[in-house]
Amino acid sequence: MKYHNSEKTCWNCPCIDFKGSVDFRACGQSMKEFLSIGGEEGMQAMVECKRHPQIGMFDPASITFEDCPEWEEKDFGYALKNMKVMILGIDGYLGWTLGLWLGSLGFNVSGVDNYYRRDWVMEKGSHTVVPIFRMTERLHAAKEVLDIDINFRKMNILDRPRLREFIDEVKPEAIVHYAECPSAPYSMVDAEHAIFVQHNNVIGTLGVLFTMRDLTPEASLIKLGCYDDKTEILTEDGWKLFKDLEENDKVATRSKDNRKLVFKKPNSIHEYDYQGKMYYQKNGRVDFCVTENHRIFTQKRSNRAYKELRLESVKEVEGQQRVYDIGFEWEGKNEEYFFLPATDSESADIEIPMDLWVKFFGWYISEGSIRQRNDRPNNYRVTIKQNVNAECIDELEEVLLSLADILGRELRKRKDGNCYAFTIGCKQLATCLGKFGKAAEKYIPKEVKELDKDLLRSLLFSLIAGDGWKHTPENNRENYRYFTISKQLADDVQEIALKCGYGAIVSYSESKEGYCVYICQTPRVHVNHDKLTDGYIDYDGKVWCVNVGGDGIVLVRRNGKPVWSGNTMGEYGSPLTGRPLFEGMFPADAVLQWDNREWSLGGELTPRDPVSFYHCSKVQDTFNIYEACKYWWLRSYDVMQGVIYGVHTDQIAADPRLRARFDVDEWFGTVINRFVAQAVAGIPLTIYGSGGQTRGFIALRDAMQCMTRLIVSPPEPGQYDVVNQISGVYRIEDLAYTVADIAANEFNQLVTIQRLENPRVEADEHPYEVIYEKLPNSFDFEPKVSLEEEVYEMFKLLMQPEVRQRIEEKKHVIAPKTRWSGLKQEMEVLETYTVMPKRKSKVVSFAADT
Amino acid sequence: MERWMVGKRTVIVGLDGVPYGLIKKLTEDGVMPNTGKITQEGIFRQMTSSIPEISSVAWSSIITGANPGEHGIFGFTELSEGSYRLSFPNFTNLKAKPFWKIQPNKKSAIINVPSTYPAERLNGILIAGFVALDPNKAIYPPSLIEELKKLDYRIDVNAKQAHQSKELFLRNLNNTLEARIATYRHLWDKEDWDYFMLVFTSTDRLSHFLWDAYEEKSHRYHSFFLNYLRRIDEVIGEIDEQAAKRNYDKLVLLSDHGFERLNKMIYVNKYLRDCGFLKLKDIPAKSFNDIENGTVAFALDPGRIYLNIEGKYPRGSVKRSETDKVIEKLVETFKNFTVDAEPVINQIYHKEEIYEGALVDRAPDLVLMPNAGFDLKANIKTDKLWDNSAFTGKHTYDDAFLLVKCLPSSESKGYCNSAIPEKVNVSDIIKII
Repeated sequence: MKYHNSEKTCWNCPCIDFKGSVDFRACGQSMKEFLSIGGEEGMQAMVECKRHPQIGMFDPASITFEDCPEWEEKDFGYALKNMKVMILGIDGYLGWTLGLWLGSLGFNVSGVDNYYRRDWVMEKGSHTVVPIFRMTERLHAAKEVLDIDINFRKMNILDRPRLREFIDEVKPEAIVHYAECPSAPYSMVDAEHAIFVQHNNVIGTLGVLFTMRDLTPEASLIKLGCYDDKTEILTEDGWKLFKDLEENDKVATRSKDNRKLVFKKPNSIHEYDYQGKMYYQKNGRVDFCVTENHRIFTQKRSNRAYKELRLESVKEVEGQQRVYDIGFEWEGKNEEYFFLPATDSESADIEIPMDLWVKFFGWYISEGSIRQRNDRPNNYRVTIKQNVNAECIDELEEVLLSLADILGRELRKRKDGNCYAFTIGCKQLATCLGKFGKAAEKYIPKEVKELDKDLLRSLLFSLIAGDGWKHTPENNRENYRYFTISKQLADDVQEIALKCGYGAIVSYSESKEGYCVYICQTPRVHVNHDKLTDGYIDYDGKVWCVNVGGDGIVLVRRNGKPVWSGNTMGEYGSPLTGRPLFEGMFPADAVLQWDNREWSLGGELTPRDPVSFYHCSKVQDTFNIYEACKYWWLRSYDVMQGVIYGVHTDQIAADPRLRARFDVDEWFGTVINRFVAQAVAGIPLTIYGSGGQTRGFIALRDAMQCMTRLIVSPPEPGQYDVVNQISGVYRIEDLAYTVADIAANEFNQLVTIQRLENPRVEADEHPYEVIYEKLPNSFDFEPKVSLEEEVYEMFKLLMQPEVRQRIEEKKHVIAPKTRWSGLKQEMEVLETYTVMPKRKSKVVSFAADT
Repeated sequence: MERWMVGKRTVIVGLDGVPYGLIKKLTEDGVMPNTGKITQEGIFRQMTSSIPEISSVAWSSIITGANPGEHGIFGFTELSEGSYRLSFPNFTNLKAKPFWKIQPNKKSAIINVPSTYPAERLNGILIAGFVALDPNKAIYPPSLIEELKKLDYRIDVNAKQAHQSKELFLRNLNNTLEARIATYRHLWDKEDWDYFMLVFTSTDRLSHFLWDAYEEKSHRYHSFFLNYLRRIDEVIGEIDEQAAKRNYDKLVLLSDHGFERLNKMIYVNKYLRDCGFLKLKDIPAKSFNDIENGTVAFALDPGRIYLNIEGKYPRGSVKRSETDKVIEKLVETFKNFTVDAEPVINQIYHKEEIYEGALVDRAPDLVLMPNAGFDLKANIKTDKLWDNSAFTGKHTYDDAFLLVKCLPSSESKGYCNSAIPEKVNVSDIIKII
């Protein structure tokens, strides 16, 4: 199995020591100080491994993580043995949680903190509602309960000599920088607070960068759709419309890198009312219609070579030439025998070789019939007719002879017009076949469709020999057609053909009043510009999506035409005008148009739009880090983290002394955390303005998983990269409803919502399209925690008497008081209403936490 | 070993990449009068280089007297055993003894000889030459490091700056040369050395970038080129004089290979790909690790061809029993290699013809020698077959020079003329030393 970081090389590894570069063309060398990003063409970088200096100097691109003995396989990818990670701000909500998380995975964790967060919260008259312990006790408990040693030093990162000394001593291989004041309202209190936040964050980060340049340049710094109502999805029981999908249905999935088809039970199925645009694509062999935030599984083709398959957004495939590989590898069952069931106590099951049975069954389904003579109730006849001139008549006769032989019956053959009619008189056989319907009701049972590819091919060819025909167009590749008046049978034949590795579509023929399955040798569908019809339609109706985990790729079909497609992880709901929030930099094909001129924006930092002085400090940090990477070959992931919520990881829940802080006040509490606290305290959930603000969110455990994946997949020297770390996008009001629903349904607590004047200067309703593709695509991140599940966990902890008491004590600091305008005045209440429990989206089942 | 000259104390001055033809011309033209005088007094020969004709291989042969099959250095690069990891052999990989190790009783000063990094302990001092990226490991004894810093010593011209600006490059060439002269003087006075070996490598860099300046009188930097050699000639005169004063027996001047005009760089791996011998996972490849199953052969700089033998490499595809057939096919293919209708390859050597010794198994299976004007390269990352080069000069095999003078004080005087045969190769130098 390939991990997200298998192909990374020493170039990414913090264990290498850059020695310099050599120009072998001119026998020239350049020392380390003269390295530059990317290197000149023809210059060969030379490195030594700090962990294995004996191997001498080598080309850093020639050892991959997969090949290196220092990188070990873990379930989140390859991890550097005993990798030294330093967490700046290790006492905080995230720092402490990450420290324990990494420690339990075998990382060598160190950290610094000056407990400012504790002071700030106290200064604002609040406290963490989940009690936390002094650092010495925390460290002691980490050792005692989890056997984790954390090398901690109390310090302010603005004290550069001390920070330098500690970094030099530890020589970290990755640094996670959480040592910032993370509060927008705190930065808006007054001049002192704004200046403090900016000084602490900007100057602190700048100092860290210089220290890294001098001491550890190799370490990396890590700062911080749906388908329409005509779409069907392939399940174990065949094609189903989304509306008919049931909780226990398993749906067809594959991963990006592996063509194998796996039937999986979805983690959740979502159904929404949707009014808006949908993107469709149609041609002879492709047909889909999805919301605009959807991703589609395609590949490009150039110079006759196929590029890798990837999930692309609607915008990317719009009007483009693409190849859709609708095929997959099918691993079915290899049954040796079919047991023809006994009909009464006197008969016994008859064992028939499966290969023979499927061939016969194909013939029967296409051309067979059963007759029972009225006068002789025990006389059953199974008859198969075939044209005397048919190519396969001999083969058919052979199959039937073998079968008759096993059944101990005689095969009768008579000529009927220009047909031969073959008859076997056998009650047991007729009774069995009778179950598979007549004419328009004929179908192929699930047990047969589950057989392996070889058996299915035998079946498919006798089906085609019966009711199908070969069709060889100009390109000389044999194609097949199968015709039936049974819709179910047509679907089954399509499914079988796909499982055999062919491409197959089904369409209804008005003239013939039946269904035709078009089967072709290649499962790849090429869509050229000229033969493509695509565009947007206005849609008003229900839409569906499923969350299957993994790469989220499922096999769907519309109007009989299948395609592999990504899912949307429930991001539906945001209007889609307005520029998307790309991951830090514009994608390569972004273009600025103005005044009839065009400029490429690819690779440039996107404009930032900070919404407080705190956010301004983060923007300045971004520029400082970006420049440091450019000047000094530092490497960084700038993590644009969504709002984190939640209380649970296995480590912090292992002992009361290990709990992470949990703030609910207006300055340091994040929105979902505060909603739950308000619900527990029995006070109204406060939303600002209309509550239409949309943000990206991620659960605590998922955030930890993301951080781990980033740490083990360091950027290249000089690489500054931005990742948007969120797992879903929600409107604030919808979150309030979700919390209210869970409070009511699970904890019998009716919740009131209070709309207040918005203390911030921001649009209540605004477009918000955030791109978060890098973590799932490049780091194999998949969210494991659903919003509802984590909110449920939060209620459980916050309802405990001690915590409840601590919320009760501070409930007056939850509601907002800090106005961006500086005006000292309580917010006016705009509206108060009680929420009657109802589910916004139908959550069939929670994801199993693994 | 057969000795060509008797003598206890020798001064050796290496001029990296300076051809016989150039010395001949510039001594005749009066640009290098001191060297001209020595050619009159001593033996002046055209010398053949190593195969391939690159500095690390040639200098390793010069200091050990061994061929690559014995000393194990076949190029600047090699693939580590059992892998496609591109590594850079250095002095620790040299499997034959250099002369200062053969005669450990003699005091040696070895300055800037290529491929002597990292510096090992010896009876004397050693300052490693190219490739030597960490100054702390390039100098023995370490106490010398501070002294050299004061002299602004540089191991090599900065290759990157050469691409940025010619002016900067020329300044860099001068500074490097002057610092080396200062260093030689400083060390010369330090002790009475038995062996004093000094190599100027900037001559090679100069020729790579500015061979055209030498050939074309109208070239902007023509006089720079000549002045550079004039300055070196001055130093040679000074050393000649000093050596006589110090009662040395012999003065040996030599180069490791010759030079000529470069027209096209040829990327051998691209040709192997085009002919179906080399398969890569990604185009452009990131490294040799992208070599895929089904690869028959690949090249390392400059024209070393290795069969991708099963069992020898992770994705080896050639069975040992098939090698003869495959080699035949490769030879045929390279014979037909033309660019713009000009045949590229002049000579194809099988490893058995040119190498002998315990390490022959690690040798390239074929070595290609190009026709004039073509420079072979094995860059695996490029997707071009050839390129008009940023350089104007390239190495040659048959045009190195050797100039030996027995000093007046020498006991060996009189042996000189008879002792050195007409056809001499870099691996013969040890017989003189």
